[in-house]
Amino acid sequence: MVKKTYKQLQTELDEVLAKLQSAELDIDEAVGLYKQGQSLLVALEDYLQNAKNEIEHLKKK
Amino acid sequence: MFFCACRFFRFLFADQKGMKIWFIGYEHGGKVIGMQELIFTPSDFVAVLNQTLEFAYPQVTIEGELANVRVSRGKWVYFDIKDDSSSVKCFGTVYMLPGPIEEGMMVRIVASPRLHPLYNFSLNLQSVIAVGEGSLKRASDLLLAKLQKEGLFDESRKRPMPFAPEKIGLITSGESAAYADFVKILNERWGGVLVQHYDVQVQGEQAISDIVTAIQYMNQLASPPEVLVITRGGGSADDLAAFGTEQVVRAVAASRIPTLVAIGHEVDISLAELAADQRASTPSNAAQLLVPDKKHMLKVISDQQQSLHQAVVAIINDAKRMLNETSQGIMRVLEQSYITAQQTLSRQTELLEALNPDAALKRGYAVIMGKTGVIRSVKSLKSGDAINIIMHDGNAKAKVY
Repeated sequence: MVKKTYKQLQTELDEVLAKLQSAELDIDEAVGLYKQGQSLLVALEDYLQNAKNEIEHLKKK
Repeated sequence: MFFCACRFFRFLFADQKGMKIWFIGYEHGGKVIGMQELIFTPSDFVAVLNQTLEFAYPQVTIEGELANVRVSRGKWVYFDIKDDSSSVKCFGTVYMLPGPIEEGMMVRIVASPRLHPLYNFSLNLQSVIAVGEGSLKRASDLLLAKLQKEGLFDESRKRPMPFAPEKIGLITSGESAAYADFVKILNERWGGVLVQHYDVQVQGEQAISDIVTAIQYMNQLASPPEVLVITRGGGSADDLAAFGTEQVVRAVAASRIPTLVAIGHEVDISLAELAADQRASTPSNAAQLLVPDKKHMLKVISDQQQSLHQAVVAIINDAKRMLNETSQGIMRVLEQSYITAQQTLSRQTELLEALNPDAALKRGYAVIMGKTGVIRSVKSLKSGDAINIIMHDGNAKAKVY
């Protein structure tokens, strides 16, 4: 599987959040979306942490 | 009877009529030969007298004052050379003169005494130079005025000296200190310069023609030197006279090779120096003018090298600083985009947490599910419906009353 870019992950998270805010959800869907949102958040945080490490590394050069 | 030279003598007799007759004879190997009484024809007398003069005084040098100067057809010159009690006629060509001459001037002439068959006694000139401070000055002034009028000393005629020439033509006496000084300074300062030397007399009768010949010789060479140096050390005004003669001055001015004349004396500048492209005060000074000092040049080169190095280092440092600034700029942009991304993410995190359905249940909200899904309105319930109540820690089945 091709790794998604930060931008793609961000877009997916935005979509999840938008769906969660709409009224037409039942509890199971809401929970599913919430879980999906959380895993997207984890992926994004990983991404950012990597970016931060790289910036620190560059700074030291 | 008396002897007037060791190999030559004459007798004076008086004959019966009281006429005095010269007897001339020659001594040969200590024995007198060919002595006889002679009665001359005028032509014989002239011939014998001239022979005698030629034998006794092939050439005489006389110093005296000029009088009755006359130039004929721009070519022949006549004058008398005199002192307080005697005056002798002289004859020659204008080419022998050191420059313009005038009456009252003291000159030294070299000439052959001659009795002309028709025009009496005269001295046939070989060379004429002015002597004595006053006359030299006067002769020099006259020549200066004449040549100046011709434009021989004009600044516009001056050619630049070649920088560090590879081949120099040196016209001076090989025996002189001038020669030694010039070559010594030349080698000390630069070295490796080819010096083509033409040995000349720098004073006396021979000097004028020597120097003129030398300049002409150098000019006709297939590969002539780049510059001609004509030099001698200091001396009295008489010693330096050759460098003020018209012949030498004209030869210097006519040289196709640029000329540097250096006569070592302090006060007056000789006309040859005025005619030269460049003058120097001494032979050493001439060498200094022609070639740079290699020690000085090495210093200059080393200084230039250093400032070149400094310039390059400055450029590199500038570039480094700019690069550093650029790289810091890039880092700032990177950090800024990181911060922006983090802020966005943290807002999204908060929003997601706010939308967490479990959190609402924990706060005491419950979801009521009917047969068709979530019950959002009381109107969709009627008595007897079975419902499922979802709370945060489990479900409860119930019936609507």
